[in-house]
Amino acid sequence: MSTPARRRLMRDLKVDPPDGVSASPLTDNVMIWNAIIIGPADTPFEDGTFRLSINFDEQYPNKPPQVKFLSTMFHPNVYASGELCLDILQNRWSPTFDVASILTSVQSLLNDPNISSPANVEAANLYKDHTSQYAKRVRETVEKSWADDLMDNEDDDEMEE
Amino acid sequence: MSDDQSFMNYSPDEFESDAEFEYEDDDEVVEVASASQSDDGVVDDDYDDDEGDGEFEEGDYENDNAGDASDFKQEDTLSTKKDLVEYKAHSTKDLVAKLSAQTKNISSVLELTDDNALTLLQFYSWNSERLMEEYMDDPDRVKTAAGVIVDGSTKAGSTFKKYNKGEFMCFICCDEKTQTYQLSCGDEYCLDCYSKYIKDKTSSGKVIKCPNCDVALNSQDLDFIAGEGESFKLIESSIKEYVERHRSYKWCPSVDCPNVVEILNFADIPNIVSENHVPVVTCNHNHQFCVSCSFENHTPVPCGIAKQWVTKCKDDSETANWIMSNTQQCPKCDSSIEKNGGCNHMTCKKCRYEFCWICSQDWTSHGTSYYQCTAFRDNPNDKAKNKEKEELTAKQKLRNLTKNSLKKYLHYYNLYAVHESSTKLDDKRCKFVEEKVRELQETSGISWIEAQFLVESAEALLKARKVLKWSYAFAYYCDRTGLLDIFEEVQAKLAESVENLSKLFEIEDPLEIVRNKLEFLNKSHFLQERQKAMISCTLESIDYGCLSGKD
Ligand SMILES: [Zn+2]
Ligand SMILES: [Zn+2]
Ligand SMILES: [Zn+2]
Ligand SMILES: [Zn+2]
Ligand SMILES: [Zn+2]
Ligand SMILES: [Zn+2]
Repeated sequence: MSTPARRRLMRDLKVDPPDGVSASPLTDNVMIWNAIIIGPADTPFEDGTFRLSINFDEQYPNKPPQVKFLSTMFHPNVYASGELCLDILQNRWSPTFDVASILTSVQSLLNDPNISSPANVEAANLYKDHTSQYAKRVRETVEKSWADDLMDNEDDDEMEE
Repeated sequence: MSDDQSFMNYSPDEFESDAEFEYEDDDEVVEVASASQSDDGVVDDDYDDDEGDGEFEEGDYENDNAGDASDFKQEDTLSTKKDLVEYKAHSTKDLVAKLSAQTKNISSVLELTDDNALTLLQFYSWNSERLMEEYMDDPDRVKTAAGVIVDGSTKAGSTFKKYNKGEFMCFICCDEKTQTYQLSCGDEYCLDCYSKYIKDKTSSGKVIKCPNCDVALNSQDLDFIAGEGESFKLIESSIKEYVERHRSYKWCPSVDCPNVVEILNFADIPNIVSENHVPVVTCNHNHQFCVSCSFENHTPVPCGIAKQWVTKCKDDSETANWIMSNTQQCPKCDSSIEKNGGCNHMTCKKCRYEFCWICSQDWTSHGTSYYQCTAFRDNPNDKAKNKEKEELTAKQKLRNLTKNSLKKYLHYYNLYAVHESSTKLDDKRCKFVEEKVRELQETSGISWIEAQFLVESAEALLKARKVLKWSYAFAYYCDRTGLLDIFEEVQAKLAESVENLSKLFEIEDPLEIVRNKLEFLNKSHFLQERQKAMISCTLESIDYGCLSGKD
């Protein structure tokens, strides 16, 4: 069945992802994607493997998809639930955005938070006033993202057996 | 493009230079009203009613729905007193004209096309001053930020293109399309996608930009892509933005009312409110509301208490919902009775039993002079019982207290709610009667002037019932001492007069109505007197410190 949303997602799939991000739809549902963002170099997020889910509906690309971190995050614009506060996913959405541009925006948000509308007040305060403590808390999430990765790989191994 | 849809042709002469928000046009309505007080002549004895200018001109309402406002005479009173709201009533049309004039002003000062000036103003949320300041500083930066193509740019304007099947693949929908639109930036999308994109954004009131870059779509682009009138819809949404920007502008809070009131002495409002006056204004559709609360005219209750009451009612609405129902059972024969007018004096159609809608008691038990049921009395027996049971635990005492305060609340809420729903029924009934008499005019040659008494009586009834309704909220927050007995007597008399006039509106036969003209006039006059008495009584109660504001 070809709808505008599905046609667009099939094209998004063909677009080469930018550096440091990867994404692909579930094998049985093109409307749900899993993505990984590698924390950008020279930032506290460096080398973290942060996992996200992207949920599209038939309104895409006229309406933005729902983007959510699955990994635990410590970031001024990410809620405890993993949902994130990013203007291009809300009022500044444009139908010309695609999966690659969404992930690029989220990636650059990591090191360039918007302090004026914090989703995590503690993270926002540390970011502003206690940089080293902020970095420390972020590094904890980076290490957790590696551990999660490892566990996942073990799960996969078990399943293969 | 039809005339009334064209923004720049919108009554262009009505406003001249209002970039600084000056108001020179004399034919606009300037109204000065205080609270209640000026409406009802309680405190306005010191100025002459006849001196008020600015009678509504019927022509002002040509485009307003049904023109209902022009049917009513405004009681205009001008004064320099500080406790009065000075304001102008605007229709949406007035505001569109105002924005149009502001756009023209900017386009001539900054030497831009009207279209570009409009985009810049929308981008700057109609803040002309900031726009001009920043434009003088660096015009190119301002234009680029707003997405206005800088003059002399080599790029062509917008183009509509047609393709054969298979020649164009739209980036947004990933489909082969034959009709596209391209802005001067070169970004090109199919018409369908563009149209959807625009329609999603028209309600924002903000500049709509190319989906891929910062170039703004102008009115011609919008109308071409999304259909004629789309740019006008954007202007209408801009009005919301404009009203939000200017705190001295207030939307009429009535449901679906598109009118706005501009408060000329905005800085005085806190003083007016702190002196327990209600800053009441009347919109172009004749809705009265308080500009401090953005709520219906709640005279004679001061703003703070009115807010408290409204919040309380909202919180307690579930408990009290049953009261609002419009059917009850006859206390004698149990047949169900529907209330069809505002009057609370009910007569059962089946058994002819007469009773009071509010308390379900025999109507005659209310006596002829006033209605007992409007007065809340602590039950003396309850008190005696409580005295006997002093061994009650603290918890039980507390529970009884809440019970009693709930009882008190329900008592007043009941009265308040009954009159609220009666107001609606009165309103319906009055319109029905007016319609009947209008029919009669056509067949019998009774003049419109002769039938005016009905319009005036209806208005008097609705106003007085509103005052009565709010007087129960007032009573709820009063100490149960001192003036309260007088207060309740005045209140009961007002209630009686309201029901009497309401009853008159139940006459079905239009000829009979006209025959009762004198009766209508007398009852209305009497009602207005009692309304005045009610308002001065509340003001006195406030002066004596009776209004505690406690639950
Ligand atoms: Zn398209
Ligand atoms: Zn563009
Ligand atoms: Zn209104
Ligand atoms: Zn108020
Ligand atoms: Zn009956
Ligand atoms: Zn009663």
